[in-house]
Amino acid sequence: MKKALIWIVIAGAVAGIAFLAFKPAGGGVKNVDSAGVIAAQGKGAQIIDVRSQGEYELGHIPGSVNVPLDTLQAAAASWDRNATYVVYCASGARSAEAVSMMTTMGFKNIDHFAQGVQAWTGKLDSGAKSAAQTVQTSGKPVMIEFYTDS
Amino acid sequence: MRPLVEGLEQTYKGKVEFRRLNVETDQAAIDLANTMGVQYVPTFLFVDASGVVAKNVVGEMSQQDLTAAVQSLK
Repeated sequence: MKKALIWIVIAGAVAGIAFLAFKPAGGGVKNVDSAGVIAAQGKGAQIIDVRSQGEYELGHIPGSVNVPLDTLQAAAASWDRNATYVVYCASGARSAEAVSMMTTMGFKNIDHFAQGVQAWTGKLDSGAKSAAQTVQTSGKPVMIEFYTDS
Repeated sequence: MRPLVEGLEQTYKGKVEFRRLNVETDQAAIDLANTMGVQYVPTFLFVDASGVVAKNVVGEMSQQDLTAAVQSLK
């Protein structure tokens, strides 16, 4: 009886070690370079630029969304925690803070472009695109808020 | 954000138009959000009288920032 118990304990330990050793990789935070950003974007990741609006307008990674660091927590509250996000700033300081914040908020897949936009090897888009967007007005300025109740 | 925006709407009545668009329930709002490339809520667009988007802010805004952005519209 005692022998059988010992074998059960050993078998359990071996199974536990095997589970940890062969647990599927993926998720969490990983550092990426320019090529990694492009690869992630190709797989549907959302690129988040946490610099200020002014910095963003000067030049940003094509397809990125500007969410300044001081607005990230509120903006990210409604985001999908299981989606993949690539986070960058100018040189890595603000994006590191953003990654830490998003990890605490429960985001599971974050690619950190830690070298920042200064290390981006592709072309940058400028803010001219957003300035060219127009909305029909009645001749008065307009403030539009897009929101949800949830 | 609603009380803040409604307060500003009263302050700037007749001078600035305020549009609050629910992208969960309003198809026209969803269409406009898609056209404008809006991906997250809340997003605020501050549009000048000629229709050009002067400022685009993603995320909650403080009363001070919201007021400043509305005041800067011409």
